[in-house]
Amino acid sequence: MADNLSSWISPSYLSSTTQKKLAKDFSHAKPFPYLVLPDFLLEEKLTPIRSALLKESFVKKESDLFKLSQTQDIIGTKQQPLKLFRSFLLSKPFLSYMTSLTSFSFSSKAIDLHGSLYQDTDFLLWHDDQLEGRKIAFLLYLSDLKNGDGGTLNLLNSKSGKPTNIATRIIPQSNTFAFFEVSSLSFHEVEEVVVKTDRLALGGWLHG
Amino acid sequence: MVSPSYLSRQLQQQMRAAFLQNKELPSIQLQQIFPATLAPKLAAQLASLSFAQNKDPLHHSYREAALPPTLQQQLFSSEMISLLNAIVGTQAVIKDPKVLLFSWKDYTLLHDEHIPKPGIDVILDFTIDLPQHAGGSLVYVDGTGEYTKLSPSFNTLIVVQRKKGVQSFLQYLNHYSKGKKRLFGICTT
Repeated sequence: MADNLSSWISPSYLSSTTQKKLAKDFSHAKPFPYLVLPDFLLEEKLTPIRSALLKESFVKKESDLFKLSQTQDIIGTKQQPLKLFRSFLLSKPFLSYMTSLTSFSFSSKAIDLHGSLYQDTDFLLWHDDQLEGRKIAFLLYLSDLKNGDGGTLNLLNSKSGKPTNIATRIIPQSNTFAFFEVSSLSFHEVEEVVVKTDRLALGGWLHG
Repeated sequence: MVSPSYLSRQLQQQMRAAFLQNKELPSIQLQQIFPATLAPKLAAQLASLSFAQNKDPLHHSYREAALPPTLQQQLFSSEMISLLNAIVGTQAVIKDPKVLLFSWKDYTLLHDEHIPKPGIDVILDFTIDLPQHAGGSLVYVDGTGEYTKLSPSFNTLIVVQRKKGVQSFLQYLNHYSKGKKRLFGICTT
């Protein structure tokens, strides 16, 4: 019962009419299938998740491709709100919901979920996320940034299998759930954060 | 023309020893490589070259210019070649010289499918006033997690011997580099 959709997700996203519309929006989206769903979770679920994530340990990670801070996989957390959220994402109701929006089947045994924190000058350069088993990449934003702050999730056009330019910029807004299909064409980046505001999110991949 | 202090045979022997100290990544950085009166003039000449954007987002983003013969002769004079010979222990032959200019949002990436053949990188750094926290460091990695990071430094000669499997990348330049440039001449030998 705790995994019931209506106890987690805003009712505006649950009607069959809305799900059909979202499914159509997803499949027709450019540059590749994606959706951005603002005000996704019920506030009573969101607040404990954010508070719990802020208590997790973030480790700075830096390479040629990225600079950000990340938690370990949430599977290892001791905090109840995060355990419950992970459990919800792997639940039959949620995975069926995602199937209705994307037409993909998902594994109820495999999910990658971690917290990410982008601070001033942090970034993630162009890449496609492709790795065996990954079907959908998703993010639940837990902080707000404004236009011009950086930190946007940019989805990129491609030509002949190579990324060309930015098609869409998604500005992080708290409680927005964004996701896209992982493929050889799902090129994207996180634009450098250029302000002192933190970009906090929970994200990962659903597996097929 | 190289700063006279680097022409001493004794010092060159010490430089050779310092170069070889790191067995995994023989390398050395020599500051004030050109005389103080000459370096700014060389930097100005390099900065005034005609640069073309070279962007392949999954690999790199920077601007590039060919090194004109007259400028190449100034940068890689007979004194410089002798110095390089002393450091690397073999006859240095300058190959593929070019000038690279990095500014905000520029970078290079590692690429598993195109690891360069072993060789020696010779870099003449003319970067001015780039803050430490702006990015732009040149990082050499050996694929096992070990790395060497070389920060920007005006009027500096960097010589790095890349062994098998060693690659380099230039860290993304962040917004604190706005208005600044990471400028260097690079070649292999």
